[in-house]
Amino acid sequence: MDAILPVLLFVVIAAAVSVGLVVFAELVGPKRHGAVKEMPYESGMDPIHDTRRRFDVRFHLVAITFLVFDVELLFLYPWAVASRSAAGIDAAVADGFVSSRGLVFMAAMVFTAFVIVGFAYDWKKGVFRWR
Amino acid sequence: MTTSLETFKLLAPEIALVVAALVALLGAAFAGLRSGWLVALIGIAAAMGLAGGLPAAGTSIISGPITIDGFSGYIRWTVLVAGGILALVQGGDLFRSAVVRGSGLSRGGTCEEAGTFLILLAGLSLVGIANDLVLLFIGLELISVPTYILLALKRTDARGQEASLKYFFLSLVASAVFLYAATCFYGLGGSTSLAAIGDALRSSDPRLTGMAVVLLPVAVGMAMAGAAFRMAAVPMHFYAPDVYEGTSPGNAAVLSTLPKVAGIVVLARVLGLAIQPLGIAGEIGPAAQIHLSFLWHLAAILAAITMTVGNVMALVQTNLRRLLACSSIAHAGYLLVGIAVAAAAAATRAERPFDGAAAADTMWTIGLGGMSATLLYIATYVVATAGVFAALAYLGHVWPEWSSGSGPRPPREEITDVDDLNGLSSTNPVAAFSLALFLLSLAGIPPLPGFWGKLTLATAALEVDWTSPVTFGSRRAWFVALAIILVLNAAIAAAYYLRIIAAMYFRSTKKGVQADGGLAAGVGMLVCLVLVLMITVQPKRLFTPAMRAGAAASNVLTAADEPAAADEARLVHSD
Repeated sequence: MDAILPVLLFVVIAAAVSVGLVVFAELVGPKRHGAVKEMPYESGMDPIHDTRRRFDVRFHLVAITFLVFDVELLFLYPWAVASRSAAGIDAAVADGFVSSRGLVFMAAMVFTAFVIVGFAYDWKKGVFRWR
Repeated sequence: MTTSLETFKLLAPEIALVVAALVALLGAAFAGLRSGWLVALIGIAAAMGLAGGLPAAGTSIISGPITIDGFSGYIRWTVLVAGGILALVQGGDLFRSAVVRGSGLSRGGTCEEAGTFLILLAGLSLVGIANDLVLLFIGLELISVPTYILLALKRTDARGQEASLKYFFLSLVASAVFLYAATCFYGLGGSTSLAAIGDALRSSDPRLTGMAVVLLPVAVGMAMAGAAFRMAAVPMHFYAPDVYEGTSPGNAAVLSTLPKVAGIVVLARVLGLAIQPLGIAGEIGPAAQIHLSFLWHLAAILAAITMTVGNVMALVQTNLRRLLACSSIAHAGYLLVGIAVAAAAAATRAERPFDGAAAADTMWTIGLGGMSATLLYIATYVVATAGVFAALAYLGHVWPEWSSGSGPRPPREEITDVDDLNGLSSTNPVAAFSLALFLLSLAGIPPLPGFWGKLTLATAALEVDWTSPVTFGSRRAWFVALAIILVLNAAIAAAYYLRIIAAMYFRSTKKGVQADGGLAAGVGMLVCLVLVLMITVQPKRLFTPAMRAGAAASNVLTAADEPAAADEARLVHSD
């Protein structure tokens, strides 16, 4: 019970906050109705239209460029934490999962190089020029 | 299980492929490189050289998450050879564009295509050597994601768009389904390492058995579904005709060969979980027996349906690429026969463990065994199919510029219908002869490679449990029935392959065939022709590696003339 108490508390607080905010908005928020107000919100576009519509390619470019940095952070954070913590890379080397610290460093550098290649490719192809 | 520098050295061919991909992609962006497929061919040649320098088949090395043994070596070589041929097919105008600069013949975007194709090859090669669920999944995604890009780059009309989107969404679903299977296996084995999962599965821990009764059919079924999508087997086959028709011949060649190899490897790895490693005595636990039994029942049923559906669908097609798509579905069925046989043979071995000379008659069979037959079949299939598509690409037209320029796109002049091949024997006898030979090989006419593939599959099916009588519902009866269905299907298949050959040789046409698809595609066709003739003349050169590879995958002693039986497992330690 002690082990899952924080999780339980977290779930309860999360539920309370989200329900509370909706109820609070319902109580104090202004109430105006109309066709436009009741439309589902989709980044300012008309949500119901033909799916074969032309679409600005810059949306996709931004999304993919974001992914480059997002994935980079996703992997570099655990690596950074593990290289400073006693239970991290040192423990892995001691347990024989990895042969040396240098190998992990090399792997992280190779990974970063791949991400930089993607970034450089984007740059050269003119993704960052907002035409 | 140690990840060391040695692990990276063993990955040298894959690293070479990725480096070549980076050269192609960055060269296009920074140096205006136009002949990407030349870079691809050089990269594949370098990878072949590096793969040749690795320890030979017969040794087995487990290093971290990878395994180098006869099986992964066979897959790697199949991938590299197929990759070389497919690069020639894809880069049809590669020689002209390399020599004549700015002649208008060199298309933009070839470097991007070549780069993504090289990454695809590296992913497939990784799937072959993966010994870990995570690496296996990453390898499969390294195949899928470049495939989406290749398909999307070759869209020029609504059909091409439909093809790329259809493949994208279905492949996503298939990946998710396979991931679900991976989580089930992880839950059962408590590790991502396939070796550790296998050890857990084969133990007779009663708690695990209780869980396995519920989870294993789910896991095996999901893994089968994920593999079935990649192999284009029933029930995940329906995308194949639309996608092959909508894209270029080169892409259709990639789709009909490389993902099939990946599907076979996935099934071989799933099957390998329940097989005791060589040299370890003792029976497998009830969980592993459930695994094997479920796997062979499922594979046998799907094989029978897939073969029949593919062949019957192909009979009514007039569009050549739809016909080849249906034929590739049928071949997925033949391959599944081999997987079913391998699983059933393993189940038989588990029931009656080896006990000397008395058992020698019942278990060590004269044929190749299911897994080896599958691997032999996939190699013959890949060479013949790549050859057919190379011929179609060569006879067609160079694919128009992919970039969305403002000018009008040149029309696609492709060989689309069977009737387009009318009278080919007089207008282009070399292409007609090669195409006829590839189609006869796919149909399984002796002594062409496809015949050896079908023969070994059928004999392997007949050898399952062959000392027991054929009674209704017995394992032997299942596989006798499967062998009969296989042979009947080969007969049905001959009908539509011969229809194409008849069009080429016995009909006449007024318009000539342009054969404007580029010299490289023609060279790819000739390479396939040489390979087919080599296997026809000396089938043993393919039999021996296939036998070794199958033995390595299913841990069976073989009667191979070389000392594959004395496989010594070597564990690489850190330096």
